[in-house]
Amino acid sequence: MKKLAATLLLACALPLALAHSQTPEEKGLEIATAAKKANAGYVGESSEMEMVLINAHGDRTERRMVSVISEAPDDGDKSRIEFLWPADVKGSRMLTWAHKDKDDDQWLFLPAINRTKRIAARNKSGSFMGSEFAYEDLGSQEPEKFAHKLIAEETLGDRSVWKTERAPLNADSGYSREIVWLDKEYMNPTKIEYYDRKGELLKTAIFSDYRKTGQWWRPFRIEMANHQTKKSSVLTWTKRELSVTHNAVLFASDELGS
Amino acid sequence: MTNHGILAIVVASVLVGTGSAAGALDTSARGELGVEGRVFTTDTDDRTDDYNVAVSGRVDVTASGAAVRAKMRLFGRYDAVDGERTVLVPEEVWLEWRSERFRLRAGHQLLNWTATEAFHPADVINSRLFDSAIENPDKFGEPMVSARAQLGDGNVELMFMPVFTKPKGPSASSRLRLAAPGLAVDRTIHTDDDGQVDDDTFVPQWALRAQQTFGSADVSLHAVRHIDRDAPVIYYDPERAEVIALFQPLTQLGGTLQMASGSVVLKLEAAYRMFEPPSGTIPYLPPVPDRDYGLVAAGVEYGLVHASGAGSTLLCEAQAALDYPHEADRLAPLFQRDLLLGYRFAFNDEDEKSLVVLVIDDLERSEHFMLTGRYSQRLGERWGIKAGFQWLHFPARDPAMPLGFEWLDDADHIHASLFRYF
Repeated sequence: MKKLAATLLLACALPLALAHSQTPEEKGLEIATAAKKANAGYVGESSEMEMVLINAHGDRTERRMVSVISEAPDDGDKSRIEFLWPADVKGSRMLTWAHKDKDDDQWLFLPAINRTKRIAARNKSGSFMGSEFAYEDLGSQEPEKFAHKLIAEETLGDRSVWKTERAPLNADSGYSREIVWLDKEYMNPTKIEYYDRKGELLKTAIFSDYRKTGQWWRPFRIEMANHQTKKSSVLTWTKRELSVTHNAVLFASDELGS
Repeated sequence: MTNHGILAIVVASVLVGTGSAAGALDTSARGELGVEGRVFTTDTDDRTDDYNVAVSGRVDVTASGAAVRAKMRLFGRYDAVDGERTVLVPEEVWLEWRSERFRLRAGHQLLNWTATEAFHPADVINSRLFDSAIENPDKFGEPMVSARAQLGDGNVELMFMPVFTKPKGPSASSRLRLAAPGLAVDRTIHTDDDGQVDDDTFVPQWALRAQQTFGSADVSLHAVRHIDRDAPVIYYDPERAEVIALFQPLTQLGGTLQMASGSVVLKLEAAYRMFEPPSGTIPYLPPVPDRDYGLVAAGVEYGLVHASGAGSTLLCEAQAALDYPHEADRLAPLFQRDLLLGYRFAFNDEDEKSLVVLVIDDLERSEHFMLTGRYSQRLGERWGIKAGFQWLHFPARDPAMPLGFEWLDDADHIHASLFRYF
């Protein structure tokens, strides 16, 4: 009887022991990889977006853009953003070929001078269109580009989430670390806190208005609040379609200005 | 503007208009309308204008269907002081048919083959309006038929240009002329493949260009056979009392490289130019020496982002003319052995404020330099301002006979413009 009880105890305890044998770092990476996998397979995306910039006095200015994304199963995605508003930047386009294990390739087309320029993609901490979003906030979030760690499993509002920490491996990132609340159903973040290079809390992003398109959940609203400047920016999608197959020419660098 | 330019605009307007009205094409439009002014330091010469006031605008309309596209981009300027600066330029007026990996385009096209910021040995197709930014003059659209095939991460493109589009030089009263005060080109002619003067506007010209992305590098190679647009032989015909600019047929082989590495972008442009010399006797034309030569420009751009989200960019570029014959000095390219140092600060704020400072220094004559400063920002959602200055210091080696940039000595000026975008 004692032998049977001991066997049962071992059988129950082993998975727990194995689970606990994973370090928080391994578990964090596993969650990030699972999230990447859950969001994969969408083939391509077409979006129309609006962004409202709100300064410390509450003044609001608007930006509009459209984007297309083509999924690359073995590497980072290819994306192209065209700016529609304000009028002076209308027609400017940015093309990014994201990579898992090296710097992204990036080009900018400026209609005013009718020129496509290759740009250094490592400087991703710069402001995106004068907003509180940095380029690295909106780019491809490949798990391989961060060191991950699971902090806790908890609820945020009424949502069940993993709370993880990830540290950018790119030394040129504007962040020392990010705290991510990853929704277990959406397999996407509902909140991210960004800490600057000095370790101070810099910004908080709230992801909301999640909608299911096919098998994938996507946020239709991101609000980014900068705690240091008291400015904020709200990005909303007026259209977001998945499973779209784009012509490869759309992502050719030499066609960006065509 | 030429007749073929007007015809191209009419055809494009009809295509865009009927296509849009029929709902067959998606159209988009952008443009700007502005007031601009510039003031030079006084030269106490009544033959020149020390200031200009102008209204300028640009409109850009594109209509796209499943397999066809049409584009019309026009630039116009009315100068209230110098009538010669009043222009209407068809920059892009073309119709395109395309399939998945092939496109055929016909009409006025604006090409930009450059990799560097100030020196552009590879970018030679379009003729320029030389009374504009010295390091980046405005361009005329080039009438052409081009066929492009996508290959790998790049393309191969063949271009046929049937017309010699004459560059437009500064007027006799412009402070940015490269000639004596009161002097301007009265007539532009060119020679043909046999070296004979040819007044015909229709000249078969062609270009071939291949471009490919290899990892973090963009590489292009080109071959061009056309009538040169940059370095004319200027001479005086006393019989007609005309200053004549003679352009020669030119074959150019060249290429560009842009490569990103970390926070740095490396840039390289090179070209070898082979001129077809005039032959026989052209009245009053001075002897034109052979002047085949190479031009190499290289540069590096280093970007860094500040904690505020603003960005700084440091620029360093140099250009050198190789194998340039000294006996052809008076026909030399403007930048023969020059160094550019620049700094750009982008505030990356909601007004898109930006500040640029550039200095170009002649390495052979260090007292020759050009200092440029530019500031721009958006004013609200639809307005913007641009302002700047240029300090031009090119004392002449022989004051009795200045050469090239030396005519610009002391043409220092400030400029400002206010634009409304639509």
